[in-house]
Amino acid sequence: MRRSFCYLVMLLFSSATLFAGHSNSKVEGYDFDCNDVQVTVYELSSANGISEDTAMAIAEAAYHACMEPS
Amino acid sequence: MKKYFHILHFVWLQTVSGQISNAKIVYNVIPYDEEIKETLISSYFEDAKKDLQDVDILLLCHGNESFFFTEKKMDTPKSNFPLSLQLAGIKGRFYTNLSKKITLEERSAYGDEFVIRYEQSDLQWKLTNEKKQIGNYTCYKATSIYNVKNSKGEFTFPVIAWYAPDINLNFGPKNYNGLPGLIMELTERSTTFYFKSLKLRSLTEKEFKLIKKPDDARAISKKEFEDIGMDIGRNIYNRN
Repeated sequence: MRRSFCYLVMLLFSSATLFAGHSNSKVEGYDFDCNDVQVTVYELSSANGISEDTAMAIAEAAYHACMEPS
Repeated sequence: MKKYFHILHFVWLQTVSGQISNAKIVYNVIPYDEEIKETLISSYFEDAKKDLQDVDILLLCHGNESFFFTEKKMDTPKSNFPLSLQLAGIKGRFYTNLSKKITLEERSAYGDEFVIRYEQSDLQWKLTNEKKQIGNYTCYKATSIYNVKNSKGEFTFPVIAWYAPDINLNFGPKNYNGLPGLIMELTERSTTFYFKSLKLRSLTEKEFKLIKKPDDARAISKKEFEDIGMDIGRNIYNRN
């Protein structure tokens, strides 16, 4: 019973960490989450006449940079 | 006396420059100098400038064919070298065949490998009398345009080439070819390829033949490549 409870707590903790890491990371100076950062960078790149594949590559790099622990 | 000088000069040009059939040209590149203003994007271009600072980009010419590619460089842990190459438009490898009037670009995108075909007829050059000196060569200015079609619409950007009529190789960086002399400097939008060095007759036919050509049978047009990108973009970013 105690072991199951421990597993449950661990599961909840790791899920919460994962969730926090994937959706609430912030870029300094911008009140976005990382998915929003990715979309914003993609939109800005496209609007600047950057080709589709390059816009996506920059957006992906921005997402990864956002996810990195500061 | 002046007449003899002209004849001698003509003979010299024919023997020295006139017979250039192969060469190795090295360029350096500065990507998007001061054009993109949004901080979220411009920081990647700043990084690319640093990453590509000492990177040599080679143009190998032999007869009617050429290859244009970046010399391999080790990726440092802090840099994102593949992205830097992409921002400078040189992630791929370019093969030009002047007889067939095409350039093929072999590049990876969207987790796949593509061969993109550029027709020389799509590239319209305007020649001007404006000139400048690059190294030992007098170069003339030619202009053209290039188009980008993405999910936000169609964009047109200027292309400026400086070519040297004294070097009778009709090649240049990427898919920019067909001028009456080697392109010594090229600005596409605001990314500039600068001439670094030239070695004439440095390549044997055997060496050149060893370089693998992109597969023409797999090639798609630039428009098809752009359409594929827009479909993928629509799916990922739920754009209509």
